[in-house]
Amino acid sequence: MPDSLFQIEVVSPARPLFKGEAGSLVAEAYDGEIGVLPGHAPLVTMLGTGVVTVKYAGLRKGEERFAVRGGFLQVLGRKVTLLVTEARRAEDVDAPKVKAALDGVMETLHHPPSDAEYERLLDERRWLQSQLKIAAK
Amino acid sequence: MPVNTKAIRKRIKSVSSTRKITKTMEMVATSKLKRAQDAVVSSTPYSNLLVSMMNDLASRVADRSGFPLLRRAEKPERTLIFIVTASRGLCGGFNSNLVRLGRDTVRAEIAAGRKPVVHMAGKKGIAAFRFQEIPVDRKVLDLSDRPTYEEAERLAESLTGPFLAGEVDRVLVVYPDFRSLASQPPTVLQLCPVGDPGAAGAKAGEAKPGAPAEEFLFDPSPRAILEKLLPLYVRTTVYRVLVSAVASEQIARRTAMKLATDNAGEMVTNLTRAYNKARQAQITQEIAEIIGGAEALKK
Repeated sequence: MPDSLFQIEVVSPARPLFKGEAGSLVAEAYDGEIGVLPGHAPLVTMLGTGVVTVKYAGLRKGEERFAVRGGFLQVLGRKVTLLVTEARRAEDVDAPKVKAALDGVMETLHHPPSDAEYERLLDERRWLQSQLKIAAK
Repeated sequence: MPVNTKAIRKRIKSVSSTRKITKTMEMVATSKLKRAQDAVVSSTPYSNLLVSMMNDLASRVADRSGFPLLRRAEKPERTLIFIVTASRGLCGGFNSNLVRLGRDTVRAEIAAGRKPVVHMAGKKGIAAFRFQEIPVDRKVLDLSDRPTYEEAERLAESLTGPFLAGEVDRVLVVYPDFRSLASQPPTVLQLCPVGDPGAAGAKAGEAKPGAPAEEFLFDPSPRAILEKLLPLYVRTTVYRVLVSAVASEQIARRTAMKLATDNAGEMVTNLTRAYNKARQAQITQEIAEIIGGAEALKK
């Protein structure tokens, strides 16, 4: 494996989503985006809700994107592991259905029943929006 | 007529219809097994990684207080034992092996002076325990053929609930551990407290012998991460138990039904042979009688 690459593995409880070599990774941590390049210090962090982008480098071009909700990210040596609680690939996203759900959430967000519910709805919105984002490409 | 050909014919018919049933059951089990096996295989990477991450973290958090799932009682008094069996029979020794290990576990707890609280899944196990007069404190009968994460979560809550409330000091699970198509030994797994020696956590630690001594950056603190990770670990483990049990049951049933089908086939062959022999004997005898009669008329 050349120095500019590292091993990335994305697994969800239901199935492994991605395993391969890539040049960089951008994930949504619990408190904001985090970028990981080869040679990153060992790290464990929690994931939030958002898009995970795996960028190929070297001979392979392009990138893989996943919508992810919750989980953990571990960087160890030249290996990055993402244990995601819930994840979708672009091809798994049913765009019209997600769009409809998002509209519903937006509607409720105007009159949130309670603070806790408001937080939950915001997360739901992020989750649906990330799905649309990866599906749009 | 020495042998009753009609009776043999009847038996051939009944055996071959039994064979049809066992053959069908074998095929049903095979197709269900495929699905169950996929569920086990595709959940393996996640649970392995989760366990190794958890062990890494647990070894870094020196102070274990404040983690209810890690609570280790000074003197354990009550143990919750959850035994997974099948609700249907016709699967060879599957249920009886689990019942035996479950019973032994219960007795070992009693012998050690602890009071067992038995939760049992599956009608067959419940019936066996009723017969052996071992009290079952809770019957779990709503497990499906296709375990989902939601189901695992509900079950995990019902198992960890008493532990978290301090009603029991340990939670053990007796289930068939699906290792491969050829081996699904009944196994005792310690669900709580998490990460004890000999528990599932320790096993995965061995799988990673060169555990690096590198210092991790934790964001947020190891404590906060572990707090999130522990319930997830319990849920994933329970999910593994469920899919493992479903897959193992189907394997056991397939094997049992294959044996039954083969036996029935052999029996049909033997019976057909006996039938042909009897028929031939009957014909021979009739001819002999006719000839005898004709000879008698000539004289």
